[in-house]
Amino acid sequence: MSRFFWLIRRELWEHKAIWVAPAIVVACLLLLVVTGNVHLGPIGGINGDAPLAAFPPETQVKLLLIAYAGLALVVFMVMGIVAFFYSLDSLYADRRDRSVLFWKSLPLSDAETVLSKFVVAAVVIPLVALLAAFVAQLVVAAGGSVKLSMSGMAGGIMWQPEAILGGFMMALLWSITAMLWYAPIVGYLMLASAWAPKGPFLWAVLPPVAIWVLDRVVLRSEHVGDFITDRLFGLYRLLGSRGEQVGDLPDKLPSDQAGHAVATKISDIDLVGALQDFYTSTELWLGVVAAGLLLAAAMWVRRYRDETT
Amino acid sequence: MTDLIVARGLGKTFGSTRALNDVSFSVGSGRIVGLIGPNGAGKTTALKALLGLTRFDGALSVLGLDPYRQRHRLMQDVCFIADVAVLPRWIRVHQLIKLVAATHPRFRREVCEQFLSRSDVKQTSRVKELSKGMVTQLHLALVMAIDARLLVLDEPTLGLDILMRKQFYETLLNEYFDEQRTILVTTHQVEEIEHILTDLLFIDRGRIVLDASMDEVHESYAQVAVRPEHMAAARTHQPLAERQGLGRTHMLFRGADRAELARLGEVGVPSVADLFVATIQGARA
Repeated sequence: MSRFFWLIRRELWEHKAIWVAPAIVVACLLLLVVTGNVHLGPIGGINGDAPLAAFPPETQVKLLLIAYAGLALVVFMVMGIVAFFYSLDSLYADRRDRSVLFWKSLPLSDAETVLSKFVVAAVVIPLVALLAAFVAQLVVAAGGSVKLSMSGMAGGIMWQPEAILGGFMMALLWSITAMLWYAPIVGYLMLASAWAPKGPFLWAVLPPVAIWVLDRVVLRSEHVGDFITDRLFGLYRLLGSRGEQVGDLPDKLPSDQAGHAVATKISDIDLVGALQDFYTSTELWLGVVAAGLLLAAAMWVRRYRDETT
Repeated sequence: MTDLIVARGLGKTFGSTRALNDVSFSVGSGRIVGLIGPNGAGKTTALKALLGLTRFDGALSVLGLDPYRQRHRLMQDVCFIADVAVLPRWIRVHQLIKLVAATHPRFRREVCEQFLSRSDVKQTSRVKELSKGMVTQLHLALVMAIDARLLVLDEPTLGLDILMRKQFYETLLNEYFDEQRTILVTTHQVEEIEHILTDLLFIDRGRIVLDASMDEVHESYAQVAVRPEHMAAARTHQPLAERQGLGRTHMLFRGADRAELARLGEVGVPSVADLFVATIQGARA
């Protein structure tokens, strides 16, 4: 087990983006907070236009949760990009610089090596994203409470445990959900990375694009396109299936009314129901099975690919 | 003496090229074997087959294991340097040492650090910051700290200057090699390793053209600096090769009577390089 831990560590040594990227996001956020540029979306800025304190406590929590969800979304998008390039590079970089022969001279099985890289992409990166989202949330809570106190309002409002913990739980659910949903994409990218003679990006991206174009032009169908968009973004459709109306907010409402409107809409979302739908969907579990098969294929290619030719 | 490596009818084809053609040999423990051949002779392919890095035809057993099917287990007892500078460039020296220590049960960290302390390699440096020679020293320090039964070195000293090469082979012989260990080495600088080899394997065009211990070579081969007046007599003994020297012609003989050779000129031990050239030319003729 400690061997596996060291293999994970090796990946973190090699791929600094895994912790540098979220650190930069948090640092930027900190800068925005310090320079006073943070507007928390529907709250209309914590600057007195629509004082948070004017809402009933339940609405306050919901509004804060929306703001925190927005923060988490940014962090998760950045980490998604990190995970994409990490997976593509994972089984190709050492073949490019020929250090693969050094790694293969150690008594490590190729299955172990591939698995360690998969765990980094599919588990470690989402956990780092979770941590970064939580830190971002604390930064905004701290900044917001200072700002509120300076305008003579109760800053403690930002630290309501329901909002802070709720935000964390939300990000936790999000990261676990993303792990399962995106596992087959990680598996696919790793297989491309193990197999590509060179340029794994093109080898990974071109086949699905080519199939999509063929499907459209020759068969005049959208099956492939739908399948791909579904796997890339369907996560949000599934999660949002019980609260689709939330997006239909009128734009032009004054900010205080907008806050109320959002809060009302949000209370319509049946989160537990949406999660139930998600975790019982065949799409999710078929994806997990596909991830396992793709990973096994990546292990096989890594093991039996002849580096001498 | 037990055989660590047994190859029977080893073959490997790339497209229409026979990289290895019915290769058979065995290597016992406690030997230092030089696998020597011209470029493209099949040396690297043979080594890759031994290390389970490539598929092959025929039967091959290394430490009693099938290298292709049981690579992972084999690597516990076999260590190799496939080519110089294959160490990952992004890694720091101390990270590399920690990783090998964590993944290799037979790695002795203090031995590695002792080797490194004699070089200019700093633990905090990244591999990409090191010179070519330092990278090789680092790789050798890692490999020599592993208590392996078989060490395979494919051109280990490529890119090193002559002082470093000499130092490397001395360290290998004096501080690493013992009766329990076997070393298989390929190199183009044959003259630098011939004094440490116990066995020779010459390979050309995918075939083994000479398989002999150094003792056998010294017994059956002789090089004679033939005086001009004995040229005709010398040629009746069918020399394997002739080479012009200063006022003498150096001829290489196999299995000829020593007393008779002594009448033709001074008898000496042929160098591996001379033997190699003569054998390859003989095999191709």
